[in-house]
Amino acid sequence: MTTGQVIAATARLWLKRGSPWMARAKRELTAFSPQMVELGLRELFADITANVEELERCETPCPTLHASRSTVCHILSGNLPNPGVVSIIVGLLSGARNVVKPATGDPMPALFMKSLAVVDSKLAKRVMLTADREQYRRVGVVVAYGNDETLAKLRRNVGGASVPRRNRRTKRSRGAEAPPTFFDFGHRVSIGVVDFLHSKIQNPKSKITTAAARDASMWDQQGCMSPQCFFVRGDAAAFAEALAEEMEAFDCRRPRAELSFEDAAAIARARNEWSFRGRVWASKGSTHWTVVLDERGGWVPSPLNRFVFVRPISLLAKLRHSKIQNPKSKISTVGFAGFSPKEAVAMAQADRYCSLGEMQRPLLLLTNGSRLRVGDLMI
Amino acid sequence: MKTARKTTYPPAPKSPSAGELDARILDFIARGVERRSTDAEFNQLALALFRHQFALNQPYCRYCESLGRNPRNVAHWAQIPAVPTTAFKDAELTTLPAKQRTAVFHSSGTTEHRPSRHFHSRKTLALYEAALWRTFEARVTGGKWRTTENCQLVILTPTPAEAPHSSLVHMMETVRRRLSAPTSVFVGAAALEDGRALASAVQSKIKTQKSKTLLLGTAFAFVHLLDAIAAAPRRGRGLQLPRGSRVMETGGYKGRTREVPREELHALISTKLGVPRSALVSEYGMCELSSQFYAASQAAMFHGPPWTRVRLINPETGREAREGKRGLIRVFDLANRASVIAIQTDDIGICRGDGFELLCRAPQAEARGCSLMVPS
Repeated sequence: MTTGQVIAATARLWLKRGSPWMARAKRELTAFSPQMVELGLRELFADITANVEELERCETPCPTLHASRSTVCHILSGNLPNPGVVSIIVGLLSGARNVVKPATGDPMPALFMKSLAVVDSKLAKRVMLTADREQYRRVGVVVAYGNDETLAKLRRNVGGASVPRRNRRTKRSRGAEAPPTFFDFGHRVSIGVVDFLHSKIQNPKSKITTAAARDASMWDQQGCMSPQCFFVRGDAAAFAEALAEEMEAFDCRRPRAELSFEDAAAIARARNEWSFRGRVWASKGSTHWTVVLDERGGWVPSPLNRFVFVRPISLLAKLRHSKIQNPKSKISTVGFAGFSPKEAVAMAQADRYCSLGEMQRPLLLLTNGSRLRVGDLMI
Repeated sequence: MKTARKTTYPPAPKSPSAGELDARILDFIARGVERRSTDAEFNQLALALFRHQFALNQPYCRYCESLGRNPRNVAHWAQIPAVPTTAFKDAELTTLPAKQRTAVFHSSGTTEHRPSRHFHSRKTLALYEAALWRTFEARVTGGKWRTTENCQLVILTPTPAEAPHSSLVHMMETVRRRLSAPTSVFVGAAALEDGRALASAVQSKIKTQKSKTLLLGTAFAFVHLLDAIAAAPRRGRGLQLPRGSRVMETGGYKGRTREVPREELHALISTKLGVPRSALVSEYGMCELSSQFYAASQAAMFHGPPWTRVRLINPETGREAREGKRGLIRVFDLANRASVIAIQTDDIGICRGDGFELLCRAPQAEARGCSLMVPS
């Protein structure tokens, strides 16, 4: 079997009815509700099984050549389970040896590797899980996910130059003493742009708000592809109200995780703050979801955990002049509905553009600035 | 077939006049801080105040209506809608017409773009001063300091002229006037920027006076002062305040200096200024309130006067937190006649008996995971 086929077979283990792997993940990934874990992981593994050919196409023509030359160290963040799994998959497809440092308390990399070992123990041996972050000192490539401060510190320690997002296909010649190549995936945000003025047959308003609620609720907004704000052409208040209904409906099916006191307090504080500054729709008796209509302000970060802003599209101009776009865009994904892709591209600079409803479901090995690519590791 | 039953409420009593309320609140305050108020008497005045504010404070009225609350369906003070402190930045939360507003208190803070604004008239300022003095006298001086005594105040804040909109400075000035201590001094804004100047200013007052001293200041001013004392070798033993002196520390740091845990700060004040812990108190107040809460240094439990009530709110459910559990501090202050009686703060505390332990400020939305904190 090719590496791609092994990975696909592993994914099928997770998708099987009554899968013990899925059951364990639902039990052990306590940062999310079991329903949320199941939905998110099902989507990931379904995408893998549906794209075996793509996985095989990504495999290097001569894996051993690269394996002998490079070991990749993955330093994972624990906010979401999917990016870590994808990072390991990319590492395996590149033919490299992989050293994986999961986030403290994140069981997902170990679970995935155990399931991979059931299918192909030899391939699984190409991945070593470690708690030792210092492993990066002995490798050719470091791939790190996390907050900007952690990444900056790591970058200094690694001593290697960070590869600019746009030049990540650039191959560098490396001597034996050269510092490792460093790929970092830090803070990013995502937004949605919605034309709610004209109800279109292919984009009825109800479908738009369902898609928007899905994007804002998946993985409790913990990922960089989670929209924190929707910019709306047309009746933003009507959109916000309809979005609130859909957020409630999504929460009934896939409840948000229980929050720490601090996270709940941050939401309570933000709700209080916006109750006089804008209009607030919120879950009753809990902090499960919040929609804030802000018709005046600029960009303000969301406290996350299904807390989303709705702003009129006219405020997008403020975003263009903000630090979020200048000097370098920090926008991961722009989800659009009612607008054409060309219009969406003209509205905000981002690494990825997709239809609303697909923001949290990027193509598995899609080339974009928010994910590692196999080509990145071809050094 | 079932028919929907419409909820009907009895008509609310007429909104009392400002003058009538002022008299009742002053009467409440005049009874002092040691006698606890019953729930019934607090409730009666609180509901009258709510009716008054609902009728005259337009932004508050709209807020209450958005929550479905009005004087007809609020039967207990705990049900009065609480306004977040941040709302004082966005709206003019006052019952006072513009021409009656003689003073406005602003919130402090180095990072805030827009301060909170709490408006006062001549009459509500009198309420404010009566409330603050009654509590200060009981909790800080223990009612033992008399205006005729040989005492002095050293106040580690800007002067009233330098900070005309600071409620804290106004409070200090009120205390200074009430104590009539002739040699009292505000160290002023310039000294607060420079620890050595601050230490010199305090030292000059202490050296020239044999009278006992009441040293009042913010936590960050004390840190500046203590750092300067530690840095000066000649002041190794610190500035020893005269026997019988007392110290009141208030407020946070607001990014102006390194933060020192309260316990450590009090231990340092005690050692370096020669004041026993029993003579050291903490104050908790804010410009959106008209009353203050005090905690003895060793107990660390804040208590308010009888014209206030505190509830700790579970941020997840919005309901009252259980005894011993953390919650967001919500204050009901009868002295807040011209604004809003119920204030929801961003501060976290733990409810213990009839007091609360103050922990910290609730976190703001910030960079986490893949998210990003970017100013607009």
